[in-house]
Amino acid sequence: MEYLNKADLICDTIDNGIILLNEHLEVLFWNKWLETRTNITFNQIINQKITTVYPDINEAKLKRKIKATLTLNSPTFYTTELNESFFNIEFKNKITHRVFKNMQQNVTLNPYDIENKIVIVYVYDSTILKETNFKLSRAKEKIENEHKNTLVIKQQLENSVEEFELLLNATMEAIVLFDEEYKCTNINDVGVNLFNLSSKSKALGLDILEFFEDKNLNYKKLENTFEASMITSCDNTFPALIKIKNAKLNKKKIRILTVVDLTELKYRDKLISEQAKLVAMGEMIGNIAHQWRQPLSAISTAASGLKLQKEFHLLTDELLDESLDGIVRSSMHLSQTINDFRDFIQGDKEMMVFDLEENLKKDLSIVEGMLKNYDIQVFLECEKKIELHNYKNELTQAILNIIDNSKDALLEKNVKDKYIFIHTYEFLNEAVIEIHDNAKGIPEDIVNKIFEPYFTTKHKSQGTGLGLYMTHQIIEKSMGGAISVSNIAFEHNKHQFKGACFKITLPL
Amino acid sequence: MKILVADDSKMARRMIIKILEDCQEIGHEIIQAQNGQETIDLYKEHAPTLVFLDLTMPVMDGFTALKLIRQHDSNAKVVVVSADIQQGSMSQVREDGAMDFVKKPISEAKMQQILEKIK
Amino acid sequence: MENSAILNEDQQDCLQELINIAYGSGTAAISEILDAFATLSIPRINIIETRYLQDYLQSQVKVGMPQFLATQLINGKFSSENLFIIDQNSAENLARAFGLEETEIQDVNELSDVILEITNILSSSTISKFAQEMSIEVSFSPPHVKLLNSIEEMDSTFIDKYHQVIIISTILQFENQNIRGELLILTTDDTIEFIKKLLDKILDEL
Repeated sequence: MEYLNKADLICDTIDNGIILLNEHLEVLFWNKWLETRTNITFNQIINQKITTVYPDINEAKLKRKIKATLTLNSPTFYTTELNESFFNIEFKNKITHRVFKNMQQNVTLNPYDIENKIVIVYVYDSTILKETNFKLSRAKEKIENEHKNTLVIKQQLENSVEEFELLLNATMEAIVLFDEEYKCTNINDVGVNLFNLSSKSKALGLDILEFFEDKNLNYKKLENTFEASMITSCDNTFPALIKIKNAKLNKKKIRILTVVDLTELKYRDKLISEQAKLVAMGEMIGNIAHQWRQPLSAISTAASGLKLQKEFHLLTDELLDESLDGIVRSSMHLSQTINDFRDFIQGDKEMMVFDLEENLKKDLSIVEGMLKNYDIQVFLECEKKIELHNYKNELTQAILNIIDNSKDALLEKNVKDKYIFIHTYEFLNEAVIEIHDNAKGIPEDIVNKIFEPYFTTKHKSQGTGLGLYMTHQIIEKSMGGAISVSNIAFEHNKHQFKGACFKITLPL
Repeated sequence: MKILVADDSKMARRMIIKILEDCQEIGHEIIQAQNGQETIDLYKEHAPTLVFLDLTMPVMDGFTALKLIRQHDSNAKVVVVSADIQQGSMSQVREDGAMDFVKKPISEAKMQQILEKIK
Repeated sequence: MENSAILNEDQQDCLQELINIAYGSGTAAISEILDAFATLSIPRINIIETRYLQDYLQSQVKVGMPQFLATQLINGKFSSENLFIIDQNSAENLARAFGLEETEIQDVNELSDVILEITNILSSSTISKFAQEMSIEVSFSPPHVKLLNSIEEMDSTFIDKYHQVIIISTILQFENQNIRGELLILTTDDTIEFIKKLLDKILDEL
């Protein structure tokens, strides 16, 4: 194999360094590759100890490795870590992407001549490999850090979501979120319970109208809070306080529906109303008792008178007729009172058309006795004939209550000449009833509170505080009208008076 | 000639026996011992001409067995055959009276050399 | 750990003897290179399936202490991978035996180099001798070393490549110190088959 005779050609053209060293570290061969990279020629280094030219080489280590190679008759290695080379070859040419200043090397020692204790050293330039590894490990570190950051952010996000869910479910109200198209995107736990859903997911995608009983509700126009009837998945309805708020989240339009269940409140309202009614009834019975005293007394007087007259043979046909008429009149009066009371107890099942003036006159006749007893003068002025389509007995209850309050005030303030004025007129397509007295008015600090339930200035045994509240509820909620109170000053019979004025407006 | 081969490894013993066969040294009586104790006992029983002794054996190691054999018979011819070829071991066994120290596996040439010495 | 499932008694015996002989060379080499300080104990051979390897190592090494793990590929008919595991304390003691200064011992690079050398010495001496006895050629790739904080960090990708591992454990003894290192030779099923055939051949000749 004569082509292997050109071993020197192989040594000169091979792309790594070849050194022959003996056990004393003397260089016996130095190839071209090394010449070009170290700028040290073969002649310069031959037979020199390698450490004279490269004093940084760890002598003890090199000697040990040479010994190992020769003893084992097997290769030994230098694998260099970052920035450590077997011997220092600085890069003079490479400019771009440089990570290392000097050449990174992998070195292998093989036994060459065991008897003469010579080893052959191969030097490989592993710079590029090391650079790549270095860059890779840096990239890896960067990714790991980013991953850590991502995990932190993810955790924060999860915490935020958790917080959000907690808040959403901590409220008393049902909160339902809708997208632009009014399709449900989220609902809180309260909502799930309130609408009787088996799970949150059942609500997703539902149209907003599915939650309302009235499918024709024009919710788009309603910005403020309003009352509506809601419907659950079991087709049960309940009254609720509603607010629909439009908002923008992440550049998308969302709708937030809050639902407050009014069932309980309405129930309590009903209880209060019933309670008040009982109280009103009680009052009315009191009034009737009052009413009946006079006619009963009249009947009794007439009957005893007739008897006496007959006994004394003074009874004439004329006298008999007169007394009988009186008795009949009184009986009718009694009967009428019963009718009124019965009407009142039964309540209004439906709205009716009635004349306002007639209603007011009837109301006054119910309390006629009481008014006379306390010496209260009532003036009724109706500007024109007004017909209402409403609940007439409820109006009665309200009017009676106001009169009752005025009476209490007049008595309490010890007003000498007690007056109550009732004035009705039409204004802006509404019926207006103004009732004012001269009981010196309501103190400024409580004038706003008198319509509140359980608010009373009277002693417990005398007032429940429900009267005016019920009046307010009746006028505003039931009859669709409005009631307000204010203090006024007025003149009557050339005297100045101060009093409270209740103004009721009702639709026509 | 009686030859005592002492080694805990069956394979090792067979290798020595094979080499003996390769050297055409047949007709010998081969006695085999598996540990140091057995080696002593068998030596006393059979009084072999030559002993091949391994150093690392259980119960009693080769070093101790060597000493005891030499104590028992100062003319005993013991060749230590061992994988353990450290300087220290080599000088130790020579001191204790081994005839030779041979590295395993014993070669044919070496075996011939030993057999020559005995004759 | 069923050795018998892989090698029969005769084969085991033969392998043990061959390894003993090979290790004898190793001891001699270490003595000479380190100036006659160290001894290698009789190697113990265990053959286990690679999936039990991590558990086995956990039981053998000083748990909790960082471990140096050196690997070296062996090429040729006996294709395999050498693993040498040594705990940090032992490594430092070993470095002192190598004659390193205290400052050098604190340098993990220097320590790694010591481990590499020991690994190289051990595997060269044992595997070369072993190969010689079996009349096969082997060549060695440069070894690599890593410092692991625990065995768990050991990359187990090679476990898929090798099914059996022959564990030859030896204790490197140093004057009064115990420098404990374990040499493992991972072989593919092919290599084990190959070894079996060679062992049988040797057994036949005996």
